Amino acid sequence: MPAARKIMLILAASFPALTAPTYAQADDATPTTNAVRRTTARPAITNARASVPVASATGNIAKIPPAPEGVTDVKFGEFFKPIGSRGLEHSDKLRALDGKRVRILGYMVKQSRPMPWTFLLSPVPVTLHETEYGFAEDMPATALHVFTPRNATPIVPFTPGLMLLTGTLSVGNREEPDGRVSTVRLTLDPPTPEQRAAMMPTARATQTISTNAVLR
Amino acid sequence: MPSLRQHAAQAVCVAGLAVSTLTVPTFVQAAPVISRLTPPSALFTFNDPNGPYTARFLPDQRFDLQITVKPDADQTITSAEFFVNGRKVNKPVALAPATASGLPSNTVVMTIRAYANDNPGVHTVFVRAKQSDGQHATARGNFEIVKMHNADLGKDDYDKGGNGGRRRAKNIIYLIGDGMGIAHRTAARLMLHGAAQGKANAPLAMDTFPFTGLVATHSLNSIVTDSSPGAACYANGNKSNNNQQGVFPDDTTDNFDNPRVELIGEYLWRKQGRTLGIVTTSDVFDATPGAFGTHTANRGAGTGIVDQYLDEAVAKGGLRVLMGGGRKWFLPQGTPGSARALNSDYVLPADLSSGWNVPAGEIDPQRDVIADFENSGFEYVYDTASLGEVGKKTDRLLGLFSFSNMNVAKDKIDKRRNPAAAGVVDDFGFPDQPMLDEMTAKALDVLSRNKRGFTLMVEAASIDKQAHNMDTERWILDTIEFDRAIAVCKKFAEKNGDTLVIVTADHECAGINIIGGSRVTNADLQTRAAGNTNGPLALRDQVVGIYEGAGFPFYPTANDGYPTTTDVDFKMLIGYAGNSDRYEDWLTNPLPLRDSQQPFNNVAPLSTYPTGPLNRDVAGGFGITGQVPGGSAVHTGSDIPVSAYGIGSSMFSGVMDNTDVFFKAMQAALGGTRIRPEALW
Repeated sequence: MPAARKIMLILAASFPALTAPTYAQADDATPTTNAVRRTTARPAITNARASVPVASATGNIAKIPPAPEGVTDVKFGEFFKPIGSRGLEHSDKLRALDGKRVRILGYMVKQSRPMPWTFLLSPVPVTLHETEYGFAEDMPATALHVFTPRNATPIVPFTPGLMLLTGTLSVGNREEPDGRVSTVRLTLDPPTPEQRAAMMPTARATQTISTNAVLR
Repeated sequence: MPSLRQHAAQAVCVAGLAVSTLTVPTFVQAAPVISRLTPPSALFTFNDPNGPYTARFLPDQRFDLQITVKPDADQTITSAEFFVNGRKVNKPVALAPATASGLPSNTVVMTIRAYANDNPGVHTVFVRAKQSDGQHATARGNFEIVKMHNADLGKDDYDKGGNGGRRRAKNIIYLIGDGMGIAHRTAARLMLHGAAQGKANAPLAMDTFPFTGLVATHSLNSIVTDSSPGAACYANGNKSNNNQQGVFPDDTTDNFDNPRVELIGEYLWRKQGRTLGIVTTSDVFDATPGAFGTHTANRGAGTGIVDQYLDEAVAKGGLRVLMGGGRKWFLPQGTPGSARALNSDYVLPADLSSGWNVPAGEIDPQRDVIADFENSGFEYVYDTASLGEVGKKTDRLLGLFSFSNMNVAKDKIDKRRNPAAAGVVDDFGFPDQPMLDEMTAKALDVLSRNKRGFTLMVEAASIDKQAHNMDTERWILDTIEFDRAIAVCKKFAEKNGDTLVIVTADHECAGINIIGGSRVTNADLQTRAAGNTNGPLALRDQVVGIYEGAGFPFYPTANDGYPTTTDVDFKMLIGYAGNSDRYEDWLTNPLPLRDSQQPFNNVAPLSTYPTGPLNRDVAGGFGITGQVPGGSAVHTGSDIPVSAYGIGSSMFSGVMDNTDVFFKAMQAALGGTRIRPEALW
C-alpha cells in the first residue's frame, strides 16, 4: 500500500470481506446464440433476441454492521424523487437528514483534477476526465461531495472499491472552488480510536471496504 | 497536400534569433513590440509569405483582427491602425489590457471586430501601433480568402440547367464520430457483420459512401488535437489552440473575448437563411457540439456556452435543433442538479457585442434556460417518449435527455432488451434515453421544414470517451450506434437529392487497432481472467491469435441491430498504442449496478470498471505498461478517414487538412459541383 494512503482512508478490519467479483459475465445472461463460427461458410445472422449482456450482481450476502447510535443509513437511491423533465427533487428523507449524521456506501470517483480536502462519492464506479472534458461527465447526478477537512494530505489518493463513510450530511446547492456545484455534501467524522489503531500497518490487510478514518 | 509543407523560414528565423542573442547580450527594449497578430500567419511568425496559409476564410466570412502590443516600460499604447493590402480598415479599434500572465502590465490587445473580405486570394495585413512617446510598432501578416467557384450563379442558373451540370448542396450533414479512426470503423464492421473467406460479410452504412479520403487533424498548437479545434475546423475552416472553439488565441484571461471566426451556422443563416441542428450523445456544452454553435477559449465554460446557444446561435446562427445530454446547465441555480455557476458564465466586451451585433450576455446563473428556449418557440423533450411525440409542425426542438453525457449505447440497449430489470441507465436516473439514430431522424424531420436548407451536425461522442477508457466493447457499440445514424442520413439524402453527407471524426483516440482474435472460448477466457499468476502466458501467449490464428470472429446480431453479446467465443481482440498503464483480460467490462450494493444484499463487483484501467481486470494478472502517463488513453496524431455521399461528395478523396473539409463542404453549399453519378451510389 502506498505510504500516502496511511494518512487517509483505512480498511476496517471489523467488516466481512466483500471479496472477488462474482458478477455474471454476459454468457451467464445470454442464450448460446453466440455459437463458435470459425468455418468458411457465410453465416446467417441469427437475429435471435438475447437477454441483456450486462453485469448482474450475484453471490454472497454481505452484512454491514448496524449503524452507530445517532447515525442513519442512507442510500443514493433515497436522495431524490424520480427525475422528471427538469431538475432533481429532494426526497423527504434527504431533507430530514440535512445536518444529521449519516452513513453511506459508495465508490470514490477517480478524478483527473481532484479538489483539495474533497472527493466525490458515487453510487457506481466512475472515472472523470476533467482535463479532457471539463464537466461533461459520465457520473450520476446523485454523486456526493465528501469533505475531509482533517485529512493530513489535501488530495485524497484514489481508493478503488466500496467505501462506507460516516459523517454529517448537508443539502442544498453550493458552488465549490473548482466550479462544480454540489447538491448533497458529507463532512466526514474524525476517526475513532479503534480506527486510528487500525491504521497501524499490521491491521491493514486485504479487506475490501474502506471507511472514513482520517488521521489528524 | 500543400497545407503540410514545412516553413523553410522557420529554421532561418531561429538561427537569426540565436545570432542576435549572441551579439546583443544586454539588449534593452527601446521600442514597442507587437507580439501577436491575429489571424495567425506564417508571415508574422516565421516571416514566410508563402503558403500554406494558416488562416483562410470564405468570401465575406467575418473574423476579428487583433494585435498584442508591449509598450516600453513607462509608456502606453495610444492607437493602432490596421491595413489590408495597403488600405486602411475603417472600423473601430478597441483597446483592452492584456491580462494573460507573464506580460508587462501595460501590454494591451487592440481589436477590430467582424472584419470580412469578399475578394478571393491572399491578403496582407499590416498593423501600426503608436506609443505615447510617438514611437511605433509594426507587424505584417496574411490570410487567404478561398474562392467559391460558381458561387455567383443565381438560383435560376441552376434550375434551368445553365450551370454546366452543377448542383448545390442545400443541406449539409456532418456526422462526427468523436475519436473515430480507421480501426474503430473496421472493428464496428467486424462486430456487426463479420467477415468470411477474406471478405466482409456486409458493409457499414459509412462504407457505402462513394468517396473516402484521409484527414490530417493537427491543431494550431500541436500535432495532437483535442476535440475543440478538431471540430471547430469543420465549423469555421480555421485552426485554433486546444480547448478553443470558434476563436483564435489571445493574450487575455477572459474566456469569451477572443478574436472570433464566423461559424458555418452563422454564415449560412446570415447570407441564405439556412438553419442549424446540433445532435450529440454527450453533454451539449461539450467541445464538438459547442464548436458548431459557440465561441470560447474555454470549452469547459458550460454556463456561458449553453447561454450562448440561445443568445447567439438561435438568434444569429439559425439554431433550430439542439439535442443531447447536459440538462444540468439549463436548470436555474439552486435547483438540485443545476451546474450553473458564476465562474463558467459569460459576458462579452462591448466592442465584441456591438461589432458582431450579438447580445452582451449576462452573469445569470439563476437563468432558467429551458424556459427561455421554450419562450423562443422551442418544443422541449426529455426522453424517448416525448421525442416520439414531437409534432409535424414543430420547427424548433430542444432535447435534453440526461444531466450530463448520455449513457452509452450498450447501457441504453441493455435497458431496452430488459425493461423490467434495473440497469445502468436507471442508476443515472434516465431509463428512457433515445438512441442516436432516433435523435437524428427527428432532427432531420424538424430541420427539413426550412425550405432554404440546413446544416446538421451529429456527434457520436462516446466513441472517444470509451476509447479513452480503453473500454473496447463500449466504443465499438457506440460506433455501431453511430453507423445507424449515418444510415438514417443516407436515406434522407437519397430522398432529398440536394444533400451532402460527410462522415468523419475530429481525431483518432487511443491508437486503436485490431491485433487479432482470441484462440479460446469465452468460458475459457473467463476462467483465465478470474485469476492466475502468469497473465502474460495465460492471457497473451495462449490467447492472442495473430495472423491466421485470428480467424474470423463472429458476433450474432439481435433484432434490434446490435450484437446479442460482446463476449463470444474466439472474439476479436483490440490493442491500444496510446495507452496508459492498464490490465487487460479481453472481456466486456461490467458496470456494477447501484442496487446490487446499496441494499447490502449482494456482492458488488469491487475494484472494477470504470474506476480505471489499472483497477479493473486485475485478477487475470496481465498488466500492460503504458506508453503515455496518466490514467487513460490519449488522442493520437494519426489521420482519420472522411467519407462523403451526395452533392459535392466527389471532392472528399485524397489526403486533406481538416480545414479543407470545411471549404469543400462550403463549395458544395455555395457554388455546387458538377454531378458525378457515382456521388449518388
